[in-house]
Amino acid sequence: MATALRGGAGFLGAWLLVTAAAFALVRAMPGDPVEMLLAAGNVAPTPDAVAALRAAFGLDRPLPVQFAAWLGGFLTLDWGVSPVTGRPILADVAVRAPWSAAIGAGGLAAAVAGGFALGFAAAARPGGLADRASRVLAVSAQALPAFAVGLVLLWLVAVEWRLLAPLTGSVAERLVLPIALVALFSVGAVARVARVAFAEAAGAPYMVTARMKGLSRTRALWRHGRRHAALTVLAAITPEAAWIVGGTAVAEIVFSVPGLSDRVVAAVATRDYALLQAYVALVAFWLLGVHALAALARRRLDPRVGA
Amino acid sequence: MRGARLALAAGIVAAATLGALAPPGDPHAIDLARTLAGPSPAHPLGTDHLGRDLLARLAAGAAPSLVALAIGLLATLGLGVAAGSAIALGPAPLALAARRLAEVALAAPTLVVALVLAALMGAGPATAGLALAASAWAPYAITVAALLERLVAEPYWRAAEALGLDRPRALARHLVPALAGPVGALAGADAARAVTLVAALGFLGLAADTGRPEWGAMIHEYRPFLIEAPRLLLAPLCAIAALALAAHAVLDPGHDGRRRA
Amino acid sequence: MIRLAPTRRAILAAALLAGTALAGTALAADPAPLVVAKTFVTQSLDPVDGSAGWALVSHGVAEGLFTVSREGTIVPLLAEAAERRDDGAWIVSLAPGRMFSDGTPVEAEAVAAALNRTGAENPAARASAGRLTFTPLDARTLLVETERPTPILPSILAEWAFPVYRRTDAGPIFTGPYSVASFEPGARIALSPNPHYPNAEARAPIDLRRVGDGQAMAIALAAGEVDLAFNLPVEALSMLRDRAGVTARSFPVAYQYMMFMNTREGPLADPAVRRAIDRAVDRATLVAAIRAGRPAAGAFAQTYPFAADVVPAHDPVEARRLLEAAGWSLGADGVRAKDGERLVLDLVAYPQRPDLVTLQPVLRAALAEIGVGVTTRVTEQPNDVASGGDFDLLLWAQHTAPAGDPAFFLSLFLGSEGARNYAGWSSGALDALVAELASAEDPAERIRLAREAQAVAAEGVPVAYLVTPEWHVGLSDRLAGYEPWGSDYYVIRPDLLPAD
Repeated sequence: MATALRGGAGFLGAWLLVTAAAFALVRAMPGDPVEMLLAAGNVAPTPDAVAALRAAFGLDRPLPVQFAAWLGGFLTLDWGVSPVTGRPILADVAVRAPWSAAIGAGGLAAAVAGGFALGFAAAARPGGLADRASRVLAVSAQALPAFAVGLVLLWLVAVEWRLLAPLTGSVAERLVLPIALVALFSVGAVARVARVAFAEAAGAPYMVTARMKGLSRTRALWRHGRRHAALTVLAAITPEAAWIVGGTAVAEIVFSVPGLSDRVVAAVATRDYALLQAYVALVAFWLLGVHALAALARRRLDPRVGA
Repeated sequence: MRGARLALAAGIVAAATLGALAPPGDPHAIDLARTLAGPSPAHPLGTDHLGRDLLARLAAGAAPSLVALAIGLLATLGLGVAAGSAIALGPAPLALAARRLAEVALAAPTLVVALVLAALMGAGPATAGLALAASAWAPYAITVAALLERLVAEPYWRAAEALGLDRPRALARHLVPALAGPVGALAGADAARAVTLVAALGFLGLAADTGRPEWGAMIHEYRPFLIEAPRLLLAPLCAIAALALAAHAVLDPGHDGRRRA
Repeated sequence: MIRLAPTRRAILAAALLAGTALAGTALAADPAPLVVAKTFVTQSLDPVDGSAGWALVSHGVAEGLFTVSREGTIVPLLAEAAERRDDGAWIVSLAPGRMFSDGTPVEAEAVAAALNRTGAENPAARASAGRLTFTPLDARTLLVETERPTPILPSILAEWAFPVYRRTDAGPIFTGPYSVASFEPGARIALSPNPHYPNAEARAPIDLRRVGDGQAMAIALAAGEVDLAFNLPVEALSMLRDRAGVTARSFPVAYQYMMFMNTREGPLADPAVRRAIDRAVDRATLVAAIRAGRPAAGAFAQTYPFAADVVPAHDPVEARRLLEAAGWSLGADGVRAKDGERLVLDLVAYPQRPDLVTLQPVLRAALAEIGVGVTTRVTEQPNDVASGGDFDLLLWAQHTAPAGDPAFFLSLFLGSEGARNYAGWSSGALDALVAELASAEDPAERIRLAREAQAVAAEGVPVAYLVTPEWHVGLSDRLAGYEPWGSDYYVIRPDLLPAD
């Protein structure tokens, strides 16, 4: 009970820190949203016009006051209005977040499941096809830019093979490619981590015992190595989740999915503080959530792991 | 196999140095009469959309790309291992502070960090390396901490501790080699991300200065030619792939596990 | 998913067959929607929000009282005529028989309510003549009073900030050829033909979608998913050129590419140096580098009646002579210097217009020819750099006559008190001409003044006009007859009719 409470407090504290840091950082970016807004409307940024807009968006108050006001609003689901579009942030996010969540969570699940299996196969037969495949995937994930891979994928699937209608098709049709793209860029890293963990297990004394009891190498590896591998992969899952947030943005733009990240990129360009802030708060929530779940799972799998 | 990869790594660094010291041509010379020309003796890799020599640009871009990689990797590993050790082995208050900090850094989305940093410092290889490190050290810290916690829970470590071991030496002898595998695997899969991050930032609207050729910026600049002249994209892609492969070879040797088995 | 393929092909084939059959019998009862892909879809349906008014007009949903024709002149749309009274106020009469998409007639009271609200809430509506106050005199007549006197109210009312609408509980209702059937902000709009707009039965519903990436848009067009792709990157054209069922069309736009020169201080404070730089630039080379467009003659695209028509000469010999005479002599390193100061300039571009970034190295090479060194820089914050004067040379893309009138650009960007006088240039002659423009009513006189102002600016060279760019649209066979014009201000128009 006390542990759960402490965990909850830690979670909240971390979330507050991230959102506060983001609040300050985002406002430290060069570029004034009010002047950009006026320029976009071909309006001369006279001091009067600027001051009026600044007051209208509450940007004339001290930062801590702005943050407190934002936090209070965020927690009571009053997320404010975007200075750029004039629309309520919550409504915007509510429509767009499901797309991003589907791509992010789907991509993460696919990457973890695929990576774990591939890592096992690679460890079961070092130097074999799976081992080499996971290595190629891990290397290409960092060498290839996601947008180029995405565009080639789009070209092949939509134009050459005509398998899907990625723009005008059903929801499932629109999600397949983004999820595949996101997973493709994480599966290699997960596989390598899993492979190392399985390989470690293969060298452990209990494996020798298991082999002596007559289990085949592969079966012994699976029976006795999977827990250790799962623990290791769980420890590495949060960074992948963080990468996937970025990967989702590229996938949304390449495949024209009306998700949140697509809107965020535009928000950075227009310094739409209100939207950026809500986005950071949500992403921090999702990453901390993934992290907490992974920690919980690790504790259940291995009672020796503390905190 | 391992030797070949190490040789590749050495070759890339050598080629980059050579390219910086003795450039194969002017990377800025424009020739609008010979745009998008295929490979020829005068231009071994052909020319780009402004008639510039692709090989010369590739060579000029090597050094800044390696810098991005080095900054990203060193900062990430240094911070990550230090913080991870603090979490697992440090005194309770330090461990807690380091863990919280790592969790906070972990929850900061790489994309936003990179976008904000790029807006603050201008997009470029150094920014990309730092942006990568700013969010990437935390996972290393957590992974290192988890591994260390697991290791110090092992019976042999407890036994050694009971026997009154010299902690720093024991760390160096037992823990660091045990860390090298998993952390190397992580880093091997991360290293070249700093270089591609420049291209990704460009795609998201923050373009680097194409006046200074750099592999990530080249990918961004030549992006529109993906279908019209894929050669332009393939050149920096292959360079980055070779770099990634080399980093991977050094950091994730892969066959160690088998040797131990 | 792979199992979907044959089904999808079959459906496609069936649809094609059906389409052919229908076309044969001229029975286009309920035509399939036209899919239009644009790089921008409005975030809001309310014209008081930001630039929503521009998007709504461009989407074929909203109309103003006046508009800019294909020839670049101001023509009445929902209005019939406008006349200036002796006291400086205007009387605007409405065209008869026009209706909102819900069938309500467009009457003075509704128009006044809408435009007064826009004027109160959207600063863009107060940019040209201050606050406009609309008072209905009778059902078809409005009195318009302006905060600052203006001889060109019709042109102001053709600005995108002034669409006419009627507020209802279900949101604003407009008068354009299409009405909004469903709306996902910033992502997708389903449009259905406005039944109260002439020729509604010839129109097909439109599925308007945002596709942010140009290459992705080209692929969607090649895949047959899109009927109108607005707009495509030039690099995509070669891939589309030989594809059956796809037409790519290029058209000049009014977003001029130009290069501001910082006249406040440094070498560029000397007009001779600015003139030399202008002479060193070969506009034809720039066009070749970005592979579309035509050399720019002056501040305005050639479609406008007030455009200047002589492209500045490319004359590197004269450029070198000017620099030599100004005391900048060639150093051993190929860069000119004067009193120990090297002539190296900071050339800034921004990635939001990729063409400008492409032009950077070309301009650097051109200036190297005359012994001017250039360092290039890319900024994501062009407005900050521009208004802060943090540059020597600044590449800029600007729609120079968004409401079909030359005074906008000349006063705002070149006038010494202009809010966007980025070059920091000051010319009494130009200011006098701009002041004359502010009160001249006769169109011919306005054209003469605008041309004269451009000639004055061409002497002082606060800015070098480079290229009038071309944009590219991709069309399926259903829309092969579509002729793009009007930049991104008028994309979905009443004449956007499917071939079937």
